[in-house]
Amino acid sequence: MIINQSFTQKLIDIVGQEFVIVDKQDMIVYESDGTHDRGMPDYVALPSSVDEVSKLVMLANESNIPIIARGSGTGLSGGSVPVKGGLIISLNRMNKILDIDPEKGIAKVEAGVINLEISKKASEFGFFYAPDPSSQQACSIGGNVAENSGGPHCLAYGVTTNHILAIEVVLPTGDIVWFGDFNKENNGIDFRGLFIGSEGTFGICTKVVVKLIKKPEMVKTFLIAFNNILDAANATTAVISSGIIPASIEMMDKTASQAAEESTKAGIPKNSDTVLLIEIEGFEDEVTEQELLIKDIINEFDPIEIKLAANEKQRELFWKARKGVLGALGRLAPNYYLVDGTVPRTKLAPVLSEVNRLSKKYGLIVANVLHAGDGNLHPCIIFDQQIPGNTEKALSLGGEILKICVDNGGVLSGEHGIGYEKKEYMPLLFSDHDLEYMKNMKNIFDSKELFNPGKIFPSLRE
Amino acid sequence: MTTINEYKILDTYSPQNKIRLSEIVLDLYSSNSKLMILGGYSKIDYGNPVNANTNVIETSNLSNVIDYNPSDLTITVEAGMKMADLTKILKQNNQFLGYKLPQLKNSTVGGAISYGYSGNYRFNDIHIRDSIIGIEAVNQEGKFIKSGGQVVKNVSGYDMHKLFIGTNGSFGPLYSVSFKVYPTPSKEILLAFEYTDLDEAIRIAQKYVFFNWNIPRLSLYKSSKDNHYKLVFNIVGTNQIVDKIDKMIHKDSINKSNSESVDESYINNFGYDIGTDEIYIKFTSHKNDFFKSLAELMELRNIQYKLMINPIFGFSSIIIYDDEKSVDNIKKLRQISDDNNVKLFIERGSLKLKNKFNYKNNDNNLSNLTKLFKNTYDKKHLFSPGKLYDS
Repeated sequence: MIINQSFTQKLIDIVGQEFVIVDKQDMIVYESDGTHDRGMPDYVALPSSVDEVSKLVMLANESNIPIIARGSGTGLSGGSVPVKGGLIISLNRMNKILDIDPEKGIAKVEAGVINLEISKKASEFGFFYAPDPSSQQACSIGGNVAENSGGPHCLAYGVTTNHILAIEVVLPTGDIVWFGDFNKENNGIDFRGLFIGSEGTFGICTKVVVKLIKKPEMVKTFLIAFNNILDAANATTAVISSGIIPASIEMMDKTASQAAEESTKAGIPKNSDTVLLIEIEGFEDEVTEQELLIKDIINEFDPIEIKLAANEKQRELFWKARKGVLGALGRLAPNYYLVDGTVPRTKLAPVLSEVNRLSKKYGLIVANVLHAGDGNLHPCIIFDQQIPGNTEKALSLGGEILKICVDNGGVLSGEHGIGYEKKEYMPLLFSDHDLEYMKNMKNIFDSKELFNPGKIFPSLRE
Repeated sequence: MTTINEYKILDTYSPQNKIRLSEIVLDLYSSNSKLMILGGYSKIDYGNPVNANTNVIETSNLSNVIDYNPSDLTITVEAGMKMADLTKILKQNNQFLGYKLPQLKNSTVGGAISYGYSGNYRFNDIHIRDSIIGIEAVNQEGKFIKSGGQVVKNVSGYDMHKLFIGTNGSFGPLYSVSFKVYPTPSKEILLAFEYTDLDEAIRIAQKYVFFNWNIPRLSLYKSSKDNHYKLVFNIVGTNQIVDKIDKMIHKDSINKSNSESVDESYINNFGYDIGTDEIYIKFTSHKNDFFKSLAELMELRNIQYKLMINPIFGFSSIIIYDDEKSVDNIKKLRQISDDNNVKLFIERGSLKLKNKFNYKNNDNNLSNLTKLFKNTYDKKHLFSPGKLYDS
């Protein structure tokens, strides 16, 4: 698109010269998210208020320019990549925590607030915000709303939609509306629930009211090493089947855990094949009782070692190994493609066997990182894109893994969203009628199809 | 039953299977016939009233388990299954939905979802909208559409199933529903205390409102004795933790007397098991100080009433008699709720009262969106006439 000087001037009139970017060099940081997908925007604007967002939306709408909302750009599905150009509305300046109300256990924040900042502030009142994506130090709550993000602790607490009570949204018309309420009682269509996870295709979320959780009295974290991945998968199922719901059950296979160990020195045994990170929390008596039960269950699966974090420092180190594993995998090859599928928990073992088979078939290393308690797999395909054909091979392998997930009763994405990356796989999961039903929903909100075009729907349905 | 809200039931259909359900919907829709989907007929008087003669599709024959592997902590069932049967099936594997619905005996899965009620017992604040992970429904063309799946974490496409929760069947019948389920806690006790000092009862209640995992229900209600209030706690968890919380609450409650009895069915079904001469009013809020003014008003006006406060979930309910004073009483209640930024809904009562007093969101964007949804997914406005809005 040729830069339209008058449009640029109108953007400047709304947000100020300093907060409009049209220079290609300066826009490079906006051309991608955490994936390999690329797309250059034509304009970037950084509003500071909902009124400015509304004016920007109305302006772009009148000019038929695509609008892409962007938070911190940490997404893993190409969701915020402007694949059809247009105006990026970056919400980074809308980063205020507006109110924390300890009596009601809620916080009202702007959409650009970093996820972890909510918990930090809430912790002053003895609360935390439960959904904790691995990128929580960087990702924004608005981005979490767009993707309905998860995280390790969603096993016990649920995902973003379970913790968002209300959202302020700028509709494609520029109108500002609140969806949801300060409680969950029902009154008509749950627009809040429909909007969360709509990947920026219905409008722009500008404020969020989140539910806060009281911090637990005690937290205990186990790092458990196994001889093989199937024992670890079966141990996961056994723990869940026993009636305990840990706060999280995370899994790393040999490739992932050894890379994490190299990077963090968390104490993962050298001879282990797979590790589980299990965290339990609650009242002291309860946690102590569950600790014994979990040890008994795990011991039935011949673990190499069960380590219990001795203190908060060691607990943080265990988590650093898990949450930093993608960075650590960079030691093995310059590029990775992180797949995100979910299967019924009891299908973890057979699906992981299939992933292993495919890894051999393609001759590419796959490091498996899983939110095992939720059945959410993250096979991480490691490759060097400088080697001709490798990127295509990695993408093809990722596609086959997703197909296996669907064939085993699973789905295409557990927490990253469909975005641009997985949209062509949607027919694996959904019929024409399903897709049409979804497309109609998109048209209700955005009949001109200006909001985040080129996402979710396969090319033939765009 | 031959009428609903004084409107005639034209014909009643009872599909025996999935295919037949879609055929009936297609036939009725093609012939411009209005249709209600009914399960156990337990919520027929709740929400907005039907506003036209209508056909009825009964779902009672669609009551099978489609898929259940207890280790996955998910279950998929046909929408006509009774909630009581679903509860029983889960119980056999020491599992539960996490919440207890009112009128469990007659309520069906489809009906419970359509009305979006979650009762006042909710483990870890789980509302019915949190526990549904997938659905299969029939659209206006008689085609099946699917949303979500049988996994607990899923962001593949839009959460279309949210459209069917709390919208009273306005977008067509559900065929099947997948739920996320939970292991039943190893121990559960019910504690009840009586207070003459409402302030103290509220103070104790507020101390425990954030014990989401271990106190799935904390209800304060008016006892049958004058000026007495009962505070009821369901406490769940391991043996040790239940005992610990039990002791904590006993220690905290100074001016109380142990309540002699608690009718759990009364608490479970509060507002959903009432006489034909009673009006059920629900207030949704997050204002902790609101509850007291509600009780004080009723005492002051010397009204015979039943009050149930659920501070954990931010709603309270009142049942009053439908008599010559009821309009005036509701007017006062509406005034109090407006003053406190609380929303009042007459869940069961006459259409006249509902139209006059129910909270209405005046945001044009929301009503326009609602109409757009209805016009898109029910072009002829045949599903559940009048329930979403009086179109």
